[in-house]
Amino acid sequence: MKRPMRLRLLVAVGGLGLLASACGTERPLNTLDPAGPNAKIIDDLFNPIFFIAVIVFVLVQGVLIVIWRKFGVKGAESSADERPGTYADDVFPEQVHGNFKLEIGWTIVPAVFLAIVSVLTLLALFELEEVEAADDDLRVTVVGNQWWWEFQYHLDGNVETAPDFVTANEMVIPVDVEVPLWIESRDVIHSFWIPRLNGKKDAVPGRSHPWVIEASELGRFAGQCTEFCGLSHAYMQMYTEAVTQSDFDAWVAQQLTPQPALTEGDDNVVGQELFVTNCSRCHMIVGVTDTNGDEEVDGWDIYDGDSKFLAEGNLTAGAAPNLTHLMSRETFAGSFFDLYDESGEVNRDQLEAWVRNAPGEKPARNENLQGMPSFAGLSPEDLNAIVDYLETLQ
Amino acid sequence: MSTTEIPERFKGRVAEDDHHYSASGLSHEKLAMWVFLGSECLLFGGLISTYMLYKNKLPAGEIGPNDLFDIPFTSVSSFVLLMSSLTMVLAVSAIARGDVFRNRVWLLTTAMLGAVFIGGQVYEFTTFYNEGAGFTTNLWSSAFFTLTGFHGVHVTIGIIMLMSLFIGSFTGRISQESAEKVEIIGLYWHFVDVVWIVIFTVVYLFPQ
Amino acid sequence: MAADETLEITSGIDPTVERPLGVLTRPSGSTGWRSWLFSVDHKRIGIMYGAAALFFLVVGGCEALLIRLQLARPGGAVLTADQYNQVFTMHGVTMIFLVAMPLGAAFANYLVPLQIGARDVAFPRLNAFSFWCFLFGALFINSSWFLGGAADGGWFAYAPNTGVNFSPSHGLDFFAIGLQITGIASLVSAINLIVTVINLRAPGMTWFKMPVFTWMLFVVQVLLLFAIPVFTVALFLLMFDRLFDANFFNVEAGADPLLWEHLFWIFGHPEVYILILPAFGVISEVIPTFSRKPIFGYPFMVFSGIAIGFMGWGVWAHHMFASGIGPISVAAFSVSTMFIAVPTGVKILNWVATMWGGRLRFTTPMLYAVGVVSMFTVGGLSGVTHALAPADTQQTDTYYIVAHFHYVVFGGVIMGLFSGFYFWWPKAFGYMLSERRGKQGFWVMLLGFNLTFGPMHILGLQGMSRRIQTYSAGQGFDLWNMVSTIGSFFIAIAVAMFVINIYLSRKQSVHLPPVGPDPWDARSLEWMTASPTPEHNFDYVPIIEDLDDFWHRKWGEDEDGNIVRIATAEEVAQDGSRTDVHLPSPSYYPIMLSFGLPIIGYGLIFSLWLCVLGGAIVLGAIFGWIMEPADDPEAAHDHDDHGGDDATEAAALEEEVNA
Repeated sequence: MKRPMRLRLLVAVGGLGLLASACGTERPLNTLDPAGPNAKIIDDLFNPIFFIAVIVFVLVQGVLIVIWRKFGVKGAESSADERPGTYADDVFPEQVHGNFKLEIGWTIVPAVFLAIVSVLTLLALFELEEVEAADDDLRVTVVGNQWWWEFQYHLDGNVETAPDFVTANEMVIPVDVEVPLWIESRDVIHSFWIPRLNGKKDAVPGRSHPWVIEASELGRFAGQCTEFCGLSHAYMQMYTEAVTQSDFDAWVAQQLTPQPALTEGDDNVVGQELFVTNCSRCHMIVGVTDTNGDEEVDGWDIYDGDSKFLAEGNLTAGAAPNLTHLMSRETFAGSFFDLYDESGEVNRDQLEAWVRNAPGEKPARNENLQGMPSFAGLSPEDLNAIVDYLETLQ
Repeated sequence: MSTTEIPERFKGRVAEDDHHYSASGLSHEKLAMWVFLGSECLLFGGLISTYMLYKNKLPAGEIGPNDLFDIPFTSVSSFVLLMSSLTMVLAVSAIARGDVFRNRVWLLTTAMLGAVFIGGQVYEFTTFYNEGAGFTTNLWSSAFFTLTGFHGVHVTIGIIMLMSLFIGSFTGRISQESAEKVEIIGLYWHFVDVVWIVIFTVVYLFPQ
Repeated sequence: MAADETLEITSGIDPTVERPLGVLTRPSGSTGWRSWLFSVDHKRIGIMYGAAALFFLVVGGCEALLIRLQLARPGGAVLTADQYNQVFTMHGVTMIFLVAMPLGAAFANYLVPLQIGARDVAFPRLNAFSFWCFLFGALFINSSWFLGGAADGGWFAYAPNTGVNFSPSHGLDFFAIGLQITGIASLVSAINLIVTVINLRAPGMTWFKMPVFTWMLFVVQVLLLFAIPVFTVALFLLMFDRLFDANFFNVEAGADPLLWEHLFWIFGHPEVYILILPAFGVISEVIPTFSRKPIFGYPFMVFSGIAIGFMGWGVWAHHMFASGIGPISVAAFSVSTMFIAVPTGVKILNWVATMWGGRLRFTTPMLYAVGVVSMFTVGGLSGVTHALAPADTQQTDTYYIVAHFHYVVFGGVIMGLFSGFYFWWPKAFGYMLSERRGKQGFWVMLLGFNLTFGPMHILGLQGMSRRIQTYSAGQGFDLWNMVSTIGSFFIAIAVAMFVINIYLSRKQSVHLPPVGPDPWDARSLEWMTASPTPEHNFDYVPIIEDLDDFWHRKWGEDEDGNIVRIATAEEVAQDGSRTDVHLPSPSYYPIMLSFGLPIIGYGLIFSLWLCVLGGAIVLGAIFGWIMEPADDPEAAHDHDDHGGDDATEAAALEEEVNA
């Protein structure tokens, strides 16, 4: 009796799973709820095969149940609880040693079936590989870092030159436009994955992997780094936001505008100075001067994007998320924390906690130049000023 | 063979003499050496693949094979190692005939030729190091020293085994009856030589 | 060589012999702890492998419970990220290298010589060396917990995350060196068993009269022989990078991290078959026995096993579909992966066909075997969905994969080997494990297993990544993670029930009649000798006429073609009473030699002086090993007869050591 019960349980579990897959809003990473053509190709390949696999599963379990009911010898073992012994009788079933035709059959039939599946797989594979975008269409270089993502926008599609602007953790794309990506990494292997839009592609240091992303509906699509990348692997998330073309153009225009440098008399100029002193070593803000006061901290050429570590083990500007227009994003620190709460207010407590002691919020080995260091030494006033300043980065 | 009488009920269905049975006809030791060498192929295969991959990835300007290799020198030391295979064959055939003296001579010669090869490798490594290519210098140097050094360790172990046989022949442990010991170590020695032919071709002769 | 046959020596008693300077008298005695430490008996070594593996099963199981506790609820705080990374890494390393592989070795060691009618393996001392080498390597890896933290790079240890920059503790050094040591153990054991199967089959046992179990284990040894060196190279490069600043995985020097992935998976995929084939072998013995039928399609069973062994080498990059190897490689490996499902499917169907029309006794071993057929099918089917390379880019590194391989390695390997435990326990120990408790344990395990890993399919398809230390509420992961955690404790209970069953059954066995040579009416040769197996295995080596020779000695056909009993098992079986079989003597050197290896390992990590000490131990042991009296009376017999030639192997080992 236990076996049919277990089967029902499994069917129930499977059914619940499929049911759960239907409600996408609650399951932001659902792989079975495609929102873009690439994820759709994958889903269309997976679903029928998964369905056939379920049928085979049910068939095998069914046959086992039949065998159980039909060929089990009742009482053959019951009389001897602690000592099962041999069969009580000398009755033998027919001694079948095999059936060549049957076995050839169940070798060839699955092989033929799998050959068909292979053809479908290859068709899907090469369909996914096709890039329709023209050479001068938007391209984004996606760079994995411990433990956040950088998105370098090349509006003219030329990834050899410096990007037009750089943002972090949230990638904005126009809806219904295929955006080719180059996936790269600065430290260890990460994997870029927005499940509802496409499968994943590893970000391998020293390599550039082509990939595409396209959304066929508006919305924010969650992602998660899926290649184990060290301490804060779990905390390395990202979003891709699909917006209308006009919203996208407006967003690009905003991102291209340098952040106005504050001058004497502005309320937040102290915060800006503190930021330049404490943070600009790693964080760039386009339009703001650096510690020397004479050079902008947007110098892309300072940092050629190859390595986070300089020879002497020092960090360089660009080693951490670019904070230009920070407040135009909804999350920070590898998209693990929300920048705004549900009512739309700035999530100030979390932001302060992060600036004060980042490793306490998100595990990192500071001594190995991983993650953001703790600024526990800052006075509460200074901390306040910095966070005030960050809030001005609209 | 056995001292107890086989009970009646087993008669005809059990082996009368179950000792020294080998289904393949090869001794365990020789078979084990062949099997072991099969495994070694994969070990060197992995290292050679690593070298092949990294040889072409050396960044421009880094010190590399073109700056360092002295092909005539390495060719000579490779030739010496190949010759040692010949003397190994002579050692095996000598002991098979029961000629302990010639076996000794050829074992020693083989070991000496191997030592000359190792000496050449030490000289080569030292020269490369002095010219600025140490183990940690770059991608190519790490791969080169690991692959050739690994082979050098194999040759060194071979020399130690040959010398053990050489010494053993004075204590009477190596005789015509135990000629197979020499043969088995010969197998190892030939393998190491053959691997060197591959390494020499891949590392030194393939265009950089 | 057969000159001194009149010596009446039972195994192990050492007569006075001339011995070279510095060489210890061989240890003697067949009881007490020394008889285990210095034993070269394949059965004792097999039992020790099994006991060690069960110990590590508990260790790895506790690690698994910690993982499940941490993930039971969103934002779990049972473990820090650092601890979590160590625990999941060591869970994988322990379960694969220190549980599943040595369990396979336990069964191989105990049963292969028995099933082919041999007295021992070809090289008994090397066999002991393999075990101790494994055990010391395993302890070495686990000692990292107390020496600054365990490895934290995942069992797959992808570079460059395993570089000193990213993993500064010594954990990965222990990983790299420890797995080289256990690798030596596996390699030596593989050579040993390959030679054993090729050379020591009883007269008349042709290749196609070998039991399927022995066949599968033979394929496993061949896989080990070729897979281990590739892994050794990878670990070697990693070790050089970490300890000596080499550049193999130094991206800034131009290195390509995919090198590690390729080397690792060229080993790693055959490794999967190394794990599963022993379990396939076990249930191929269990199912016919309890169906009262011969295995259905013996040639297909054997050839599909060989086919799996071959094809296992051509599918490794299916672990790398998302790693950027290029569409052509992805396409090729996707197709090859698809077709490796064929021989596996053949096996499943042949087991089903063996049961079909049989008279089935659902004893505990049979329950576990049927459990394997049922549960492995799930893992096999989800495996086919991974072979769809585009779909795999959604699934890889999610819990869907975790579910898949646990259905394979738990539902397949662990349940299969539990079937083997229940089946062969009376043979090894002379008493049966309680069937009642065994069946209870089976159902608890089946329930717990499905509760734990079934929901992971759903979690994975919903997008839960692997190896994440925590997840947020609102991602839809809460419910199934909780279910999974609850399930994992059922598995823990089931394992505890197994241990309790051993204890109680042993206690109760004194009141029960002896089990006799053949308690299950089984088919293969190991049942033709007394239980527990006498030290010399067989009084007389049987001459083999048929596949399932033992069964054909018990049962024949009358003129109508009906099966009739020819003889009882007791009449056919040997009683183990013979006392004049010469066996290889115990030796100090295997354990001594293997003891030196981890010391060298500590030396590489902490102080090169320890290397000198370890090296001295190793060299001393090799010297003693070689010099151990070649004219030892025991050595004149059986398989140890070329004592001096173990030198070859010892030297080969030494080379591994130096390497």
